[in-house]
Amino acid sequence: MSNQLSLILLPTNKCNVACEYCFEDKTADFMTHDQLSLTIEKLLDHMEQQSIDELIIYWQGGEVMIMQPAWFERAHELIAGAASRRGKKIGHSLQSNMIGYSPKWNRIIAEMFGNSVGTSMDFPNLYRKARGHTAEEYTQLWTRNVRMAREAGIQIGVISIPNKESLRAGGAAFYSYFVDELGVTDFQLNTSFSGGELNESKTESILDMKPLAQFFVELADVWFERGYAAGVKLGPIDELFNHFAGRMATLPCIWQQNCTDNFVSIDARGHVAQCDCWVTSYPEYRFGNVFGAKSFSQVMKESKSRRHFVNRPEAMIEHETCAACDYLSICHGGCPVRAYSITGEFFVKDPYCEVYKALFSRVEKLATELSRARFARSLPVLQTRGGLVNQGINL
Amino acid sequence: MTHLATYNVPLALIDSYPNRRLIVRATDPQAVVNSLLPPHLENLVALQLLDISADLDVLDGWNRGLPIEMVLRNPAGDTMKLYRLCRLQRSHPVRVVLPIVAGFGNAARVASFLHVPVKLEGTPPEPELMEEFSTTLDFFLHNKAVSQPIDYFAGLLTALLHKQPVTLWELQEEDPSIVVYVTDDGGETIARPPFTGGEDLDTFRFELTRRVLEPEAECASCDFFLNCGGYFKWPDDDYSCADVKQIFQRVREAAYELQDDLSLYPTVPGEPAT
Repeated sequence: MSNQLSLILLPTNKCNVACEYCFEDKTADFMTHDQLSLTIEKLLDHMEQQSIDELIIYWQGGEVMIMQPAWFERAHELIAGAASRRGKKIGHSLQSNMIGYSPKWNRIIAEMFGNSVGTSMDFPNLYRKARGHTAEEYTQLWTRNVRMAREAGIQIGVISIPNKESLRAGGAAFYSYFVDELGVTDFQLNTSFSGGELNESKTESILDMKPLAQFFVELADVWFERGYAAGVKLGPIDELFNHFAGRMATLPCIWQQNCTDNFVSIDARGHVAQCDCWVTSYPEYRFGNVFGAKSFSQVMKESKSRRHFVNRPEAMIEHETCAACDYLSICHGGCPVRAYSITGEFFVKDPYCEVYKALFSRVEKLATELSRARFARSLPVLQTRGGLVNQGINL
Repeated sequence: MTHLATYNVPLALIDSYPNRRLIVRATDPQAVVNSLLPPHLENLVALQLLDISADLDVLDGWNRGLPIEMVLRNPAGDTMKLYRLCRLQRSHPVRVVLPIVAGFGNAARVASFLHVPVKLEGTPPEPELMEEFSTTLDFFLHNKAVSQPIDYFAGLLTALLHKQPVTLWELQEEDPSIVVYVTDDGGETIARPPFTGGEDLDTFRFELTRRVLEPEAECASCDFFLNCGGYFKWPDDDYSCADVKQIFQRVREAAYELQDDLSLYPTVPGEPAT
C-alpha cells in the first residue's frame, strides 16, 4: 500500500531561457522562505490527516537555478526541521535546465538532492534556446555544464522529447547521441504537448503518431540490443521491460491509475494544480491557492477542478475503448494534459495512445523473447515441452 | 451458531453481537467512521460496503490495514467506478464482489487491471451468461496482467493443484460454520444471496450433503464433489450443473498443466514440493 505524496514545487515561475515549445506561462514570481514554510506546514497537516508518511518534493521551475544555492540551503534546513517535528519524511529531487549551473551548486546538490540532477535536451535540439541565441549555442552551453557537473561526480539524468528531426535521424542515431557521444546512461523519452499559448513550434512539435510510434519501437530495439545488458536506463522502455518480465517496475506518471492519488503541484504564487503542466498555463484547472486557504486538505477536498482529474479514468472506461484494451493495467487512458492540450477535450484518452500501444507491444515481445532465450539455455528437461512460459497460466 | 464463526452484520446491529468476530456491512462509509468505537474495532475483521458511489475518501486514514470488501450490485453500470477503489487500496486491502449478472466479466477484467482481487458471487450462472463466464475464466487463466485472484477460479485452481479437499463453501467463505450472515432484520442465514433465511445453520452442510449425495442425485456421480460440496445445489436442489462442470473441467485441466510443468522443475532444498 503506497503511502507517499509527490509534490512538484516551482519556487520560481521565472526562467533563464526561452524554449519555443515550453508549456509554461512564465512569470517573475519567487517563493519566499516564509511562504515555503507556510506551504510545508500545511502539507504536513495534510499528511497527518491522510496518514501519509513521506513527501517527495520535485523542485522545478521556471528554472530553479535562478534561485541561489543559499536559498536552497535555508529551504533545506526549514523543511528538515518541520518534517522532524512532525515525524515525517521529506525527500528532494532536482530538475534544472543546467544553463545556470556552476560549481557553487555542487554542495547543495550533494547534500539536498543526493548528488543527482534531472535535466532536458533533445536530439537534435530545435526548440531549446536562450533569448536572442540559437539552439546550437544552447546545446553547447548545456553540454559544457553537464560535463562539468559529471566531472564533479553529479549523476545526470536526461529527459528528451523526440522531434521531427529525431524521427529523420532514427532511433540508432538518437541513442548514440546520448549514450555514446554524451556518455549519458540514464535518460528518458517524453512526448510533446502544446500547453499554454499556442505558437508555430508547439504546433510543429506534435508529430504524426504513426512515424513517432515507429521511432519509439526502433529505439526500444536499439536499447534492447545495445543498452539492456550494459545497464543503460532508458525510460519508460526499461521499466516497461521490467513490467513485462514480471519484475517490479516504476512506470511514469502518465500511466498511473489516477495521477490525483500521487501527485500535486504548487507554483511560486501558491497556486495548486495537478502537476507543473497545469499550474501556470491553465488557470481554469487550478485547485486553489495554498497561501490563502485555511488548509491544503481543504483545497484538495473542495476543488471542483480536481474532481475532473479524479473522475477522468472513469470516463475512459465509460466513453473510450480503454476497457477493451489489454494494456489498460499499465496505461489507464494516459495523460490528461496531453489529451487536453492537443484535443481541447479533457475526458478523452491520451492522443499518444497509438504510440503507447506500439511501444507496449514491442517491449512485451522483447521481454518474452528474452524469457524464451533463457528458457532455451536452462536445464535440458525444461526444453522438452512447452511449459509455463508458453502456456502463460497464472499461478 | 458457534462463537468461532464470523458474523456479517449490518452496521445498525453491531451492538447485538458483542465479543464476536465481525464483518460490518454498511452503505455509508461516513456512518461507519462515526459509529464504530474502539471496542467495536477490536473484533472487526473486515468492512463490507454496499455502495461504490458513496464518498470513500472518509476511509482514507481510518483504521489502516482493515480489509474492505466492495459489493457491486450493478457491475455493468458500476464498472467505471472501480477506479474509486484505487485510492482506498493505499490504506486498505480491497476486494470487490461481483454478482453473476450481465456485465460482470468486464467488471472483473477492469478490477483485475486495477490489481483488485475479485470474488464472484456463488449464485449459479444462468445459461445465457455461460459465455461471459467462460471468457472470464480464460482471462483469469491466461491474461498476463492478472496479478490478483478472481475467486472462485483462483481458489479452485489452487485446491485442484494441491489436491486439497476444500470446497467452494469454504473458499467462498459461505460455510455457515465460518461466516454467518445477519440480515437487516436480525435473521441469521447463509452468506450468499438470496439471504432469505429458513435454514438450520448448525446442520446446513450436513443436511445439504445428505440430500445431494442420494444415489440418483447429480452430485453422487460427480467428479468434482470433493471441491464443490454441492455448492450450486443451494438454494435449488434441482439446478443442473452441466455448464458448471465444464468450468470445473477447464480449471482442472489448467491445474494438471501446472502440475506437469512444476514437476519438471527441480525442487530447491528447503522448498516444499508441489
